[in-house]
Amino acid sequence: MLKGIAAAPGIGIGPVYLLELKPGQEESHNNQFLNGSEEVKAELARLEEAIGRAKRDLEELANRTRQEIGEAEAGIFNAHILMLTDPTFIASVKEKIKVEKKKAARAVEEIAEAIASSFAVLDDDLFRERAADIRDVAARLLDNLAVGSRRALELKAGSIVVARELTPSLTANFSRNTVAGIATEIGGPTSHTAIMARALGIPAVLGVQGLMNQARDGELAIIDGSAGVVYLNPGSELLEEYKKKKAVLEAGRRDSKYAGPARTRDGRHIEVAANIRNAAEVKMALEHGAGGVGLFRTEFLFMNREEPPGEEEQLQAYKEVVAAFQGKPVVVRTLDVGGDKPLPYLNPGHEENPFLGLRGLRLCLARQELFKTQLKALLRAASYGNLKIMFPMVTTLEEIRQAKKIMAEARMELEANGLTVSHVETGIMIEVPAAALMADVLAREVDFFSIGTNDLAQYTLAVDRGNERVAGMYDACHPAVLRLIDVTVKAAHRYGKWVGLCGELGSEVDAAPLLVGLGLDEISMSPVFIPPMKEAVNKIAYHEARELVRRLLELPGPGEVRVALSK
Amino acid sequence: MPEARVILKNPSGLHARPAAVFVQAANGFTADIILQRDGKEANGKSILAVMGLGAKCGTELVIRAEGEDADQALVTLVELVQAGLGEAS
Repeated sequence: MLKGIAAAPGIGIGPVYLLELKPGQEESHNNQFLNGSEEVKAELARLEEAIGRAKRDLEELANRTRQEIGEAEAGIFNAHILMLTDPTFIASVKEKIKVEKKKAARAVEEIAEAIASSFAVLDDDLFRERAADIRDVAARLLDNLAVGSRRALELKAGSIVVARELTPSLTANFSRNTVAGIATEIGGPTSHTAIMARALGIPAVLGVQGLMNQARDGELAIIDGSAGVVYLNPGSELLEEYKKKKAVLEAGRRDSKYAGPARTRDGRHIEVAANIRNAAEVKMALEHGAGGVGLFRTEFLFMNREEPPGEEEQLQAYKEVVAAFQGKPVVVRTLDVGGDKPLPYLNPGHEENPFLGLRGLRLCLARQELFKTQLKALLRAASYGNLKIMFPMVTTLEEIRQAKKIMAEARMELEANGLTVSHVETGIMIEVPAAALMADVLAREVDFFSIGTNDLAQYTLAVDRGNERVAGMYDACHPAVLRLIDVTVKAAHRYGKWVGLCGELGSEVDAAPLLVGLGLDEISMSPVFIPPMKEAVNKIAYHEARELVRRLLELPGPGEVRVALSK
Repeated sequence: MPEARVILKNPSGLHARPAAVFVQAANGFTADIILQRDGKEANGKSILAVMGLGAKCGTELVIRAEGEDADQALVTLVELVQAGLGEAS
């Protein structure tokens, strides 16, 4: 078993296709110098022509990617076009040809390498990985400078592509039909190759050390893109186990009428996800085109019974949901019960004020064995897809740290038993005003937030919406609540974290401009609202919605907000 | 030379795709565009130079423009950065 970085979820099984890239290498290793101004002139012309051809290739690739994969992914090749035609880059290459009398290919390689190395020293993965993009662009240009054309890949359907490093251009040409999985020695989760693999739905494990030394062309391999592991030449037992896992994953793949993502008119992508309670609701969510699950309420598994479900039972329940979503995100909320939703076997005792009592994460931290069992089941289920863990009712930083500590223990105990546990994104619900106001502190500790507007509004407005004497004062559109959401979103984005919303406000199609303008990255709702919400989002221009929200935040009350939204 | 200051809001900084959006817009003006971060300068029409700034989320960028349509270029580019350069902000 070889470990790497889980870059694109899913399982791939197939023969290894060893890909060794040597683009235009012979050409660039030609050490001959140019003789006289005529040769320099001819070489400059050759360079211009090659740039022109490479640019047309890239434009075509960008178009195809836009149609087949998506706008954001096509943007990668727009960036490549600008790199190829970059005035600084071209001027430096020409300079080398004119002054140092080097051949175009060699000049391109030297300049590209110098630029790539200057990126490689930046103190940020995202920038460092751009070195790979520059090398990709240079390789394309070298191919166009070479006599003869680029070597076509002869991929057998269902191959596992194994390479030292893959370029985004190559990856964009893969499809789920021809490539069963990807494994490389170099590359991280934010590399363009990883982004492309995820968009194409091809399982990928990147950054696998020693891969090229051990992989043999044509030999069978298993790629587990969720756990980030590669098995070369697996035994029959392991192979059977993975075939079963893969079948479970594939059973959940369905077509949908509303499969497309939601995108504002000016191109901002909003994930429209489903709130679900059990595996039975998965079908409905998928049929309505859910881009994932923004809230999987696990408490229903714990209700109407004499004792809590064990680890295996929970694993089955989570696995089924996670696998059905085929690598789409599934945010699972850990047990969220308390005095207001009592469970007989938990018996928290009588509380005067259960809403301000031992509920949500507070209760889990008080019942650590129960909590740890659930976390173990969740960590195990994570290898079947794209599972994320979310803690409810968080008030303080200390609670997050405690929860993460218990999760780390759960992980260690699983690993001690020989299980491989993939990295799992961990987030919290923002439903307590204290958490919203401290969002900038909490954001550093988690991977995402999800705003639970029902409780956030109740706690902010000090209104029990089940109490008819005051329920009239309840409205999640109150500017006080909106300001807390605004603070939360801004804080999260400052730290590069994403923010969803999973309260009832997310089901209000009329509030779509508000939700979009607040800058939410994901909105999760009952499945039936997904198609109309997508339709509403598609009609909105993000920059106009932002402007609208700026005004809404200044309004005196929820009535005024509703009036402004109805216009 | 007119200049404007704007805070970069892109969560992952000025990496390839947002940089491409900026450079593409800058290319639409005849004015020379200079982008500055912490005293580092970049040609606003060169994606490699713009990415080379390594600007992260929350960085203050100074945009300078010189040429016929400099004022208009500044307004457009500032708005574009504020709107998140085609990305989630």
